[in-house]
Amino acid sequence: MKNTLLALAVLAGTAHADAKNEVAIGSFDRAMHASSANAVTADSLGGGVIGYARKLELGLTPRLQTWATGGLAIGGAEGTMFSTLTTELDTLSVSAGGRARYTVWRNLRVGGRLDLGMARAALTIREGDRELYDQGWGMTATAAAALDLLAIASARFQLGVRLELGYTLTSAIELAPAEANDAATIQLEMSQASLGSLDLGGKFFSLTVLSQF
Amino acid sequence: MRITNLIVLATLSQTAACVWDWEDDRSIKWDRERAILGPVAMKTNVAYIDSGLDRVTLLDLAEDTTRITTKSIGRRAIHAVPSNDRHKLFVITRGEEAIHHGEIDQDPKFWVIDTEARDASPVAYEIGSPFDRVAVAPDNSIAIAYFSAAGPDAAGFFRNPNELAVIDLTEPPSESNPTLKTIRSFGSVPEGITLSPPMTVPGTGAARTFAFILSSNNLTVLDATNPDRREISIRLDLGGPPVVPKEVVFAPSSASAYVRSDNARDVLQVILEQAEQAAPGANDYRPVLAELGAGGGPTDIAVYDDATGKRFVLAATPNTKEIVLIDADTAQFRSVPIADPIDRILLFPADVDGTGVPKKALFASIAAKQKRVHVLDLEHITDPLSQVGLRPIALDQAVRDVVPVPGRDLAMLVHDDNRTVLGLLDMDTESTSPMLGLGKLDSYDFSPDGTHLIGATPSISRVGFVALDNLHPTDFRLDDPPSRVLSTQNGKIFVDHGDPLGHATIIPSTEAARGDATVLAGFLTINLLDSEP
Repeated sequence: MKNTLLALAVLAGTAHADAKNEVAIGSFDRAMHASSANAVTADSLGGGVIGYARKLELGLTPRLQTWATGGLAIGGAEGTMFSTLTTELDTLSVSAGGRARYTVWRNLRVGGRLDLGMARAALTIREGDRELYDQGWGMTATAAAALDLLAIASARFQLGVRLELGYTLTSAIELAPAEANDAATIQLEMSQASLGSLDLGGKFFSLTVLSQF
Repeated sequence: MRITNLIVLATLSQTAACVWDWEDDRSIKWDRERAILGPVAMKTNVAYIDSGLDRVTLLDLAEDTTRITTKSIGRRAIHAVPSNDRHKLFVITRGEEAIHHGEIDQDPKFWVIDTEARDASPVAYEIGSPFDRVAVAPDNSIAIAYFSAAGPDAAGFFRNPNELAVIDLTEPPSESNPTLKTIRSFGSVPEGITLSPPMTVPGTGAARTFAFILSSNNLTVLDATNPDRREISIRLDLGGPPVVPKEVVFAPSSASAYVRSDNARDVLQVILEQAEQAAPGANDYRPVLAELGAGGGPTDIAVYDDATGKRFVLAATPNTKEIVLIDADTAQFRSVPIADPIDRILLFPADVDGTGVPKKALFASIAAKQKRVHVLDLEHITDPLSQVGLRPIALDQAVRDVVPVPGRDLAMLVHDDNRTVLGLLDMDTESTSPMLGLGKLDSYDFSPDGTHLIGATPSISRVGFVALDNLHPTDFRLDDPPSRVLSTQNGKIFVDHGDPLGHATIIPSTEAARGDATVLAGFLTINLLDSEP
């Protein structure tokens, strides 16, 4: 009952003058550690991230804020295998979770984030003129520590940058890249062998511009 | 806090993150050169050897659903051959030298992969040197790894081209197996090795395998069952052009071999006899040589036993414009004049195991591109009073190749360099039937029962069939151009499309409809992402 009331209070908002919303836009770079990802590319997974957060009034301590977060990240990496196969990895991930943020000084906040989500990985392998493609979805879990440096830090509006270091766990995504069929002709029944399971997990760093209002 | 301070702090933080062990530790395995050896047709399997992933991929076509298995082998496979019964696959891996991080020190190895035993692990024999050729005994008891004339690569410091590794395949690897041996040389290097079937030298006990090592001006005989014993070298040169042994045919029941050499006058018969008073550890046999009077530099030979078990050698000698039939026991011979420079002899019926009694011989002139072949009756040819039945068969076009059809009294004649014009010669009726192809017959095979000729060429996305009963041609439309066509012993047709990731069409039989066939893709990279470096 208490939780329900709390949620309703968050959704309805309050008449408080403090910033309740946060939007963050930036980039991330994830060092994929799994051998499956290293097989596909030597590069890190890099891309853009956009996030939205809503302040939760849990009434803990004056300096500690809690936020519900949601995020969308798009990443990509390219590589080669055996000097002859070029690879292209594209990811799209959505996540939701919570963030705690502690005010050290007026312009400096530290915090942590825990997220759960889904990630879609699309793998393209090219060999000469041929192109093989497959995609799949997997689960993600992310934990990160953040440092917020604010240029503007008024009660109603804040603007700054967020530096995050964290780790993302992903479930294995099974892929079986295949060539696109020629739809104009009747094709033989095809059985595509699995390339194996791709693990996109690894530690990451992100730099975002955040605004709270 | 000023904006500039924020930028400085952000830069410092990013630098700290980069220092935080950002390396991916990608294995060097993924950047290695990769070459695919195969496909190699085994009994019901098709094997591919992957030099980049260090594994053998086996496609088992025994059942309706193709089963894919992979077996790990050593680094950098360079050569692979199947056993004579096609149950086992023999692979030589070059090994690796640990120069860069992620590389390992691994010596060259000889691998035995049992393709019929699905769960059996490959067995590795340490061969010490990066040999790039293998000779296997017909009974699969012994293999000899050796260097080709060119050698495998330029790596290393010294290379001994006369070194051999004699591997006893009936025994597990050990310090004494394989046996490394350097044969005596008179300035030449081995150009080929032929291993005999088990032969019993009279008076010496059990049957054993002998290796005949062919090199320019030399024939070396090695007791491969007892490789520690010294080899016996036989000089072949006569002071003129180099005599290069090219072909060895064995007569195991009489412990003898027949050797045909370029620039030799006759067929050399090597009879292995018991050596008297052999010292312990020394050879208990000695080769006795006999020149069978071909008399004119044989260009091809064939050996057969007649219905009474008597052994004959059939030799073509273009220099004297003759075919010579030699009684291997008495060296008596009968010459048959023939104008064409014959360089190909085929015996019919051509039993797969070579145990049948041939009734006819087919002679062709491949190098001279003659527009005829000749058929010789063998049944009464040894009777000196009988008429020699040598009949020419006129053809419309020159013969570029002749191939026996397994299990049938048929010979396939190839008439042009592009292999677009073929002929099938019926040895019973001695009639030919021309076949026209729309593309070059780059790859072909026969169905195991000899009912169909199966052909393919990369420029046409089809597999062609010719029913050899009535020569009715049919074809099978493929989705992609073929690279190679194979027929397995259970009658399935395997069409490889030459894809480094693996791409093949499997047709259940020569009569199968398109709906019965399946395409299998990606099998050469199966579970690639799951493999640990």
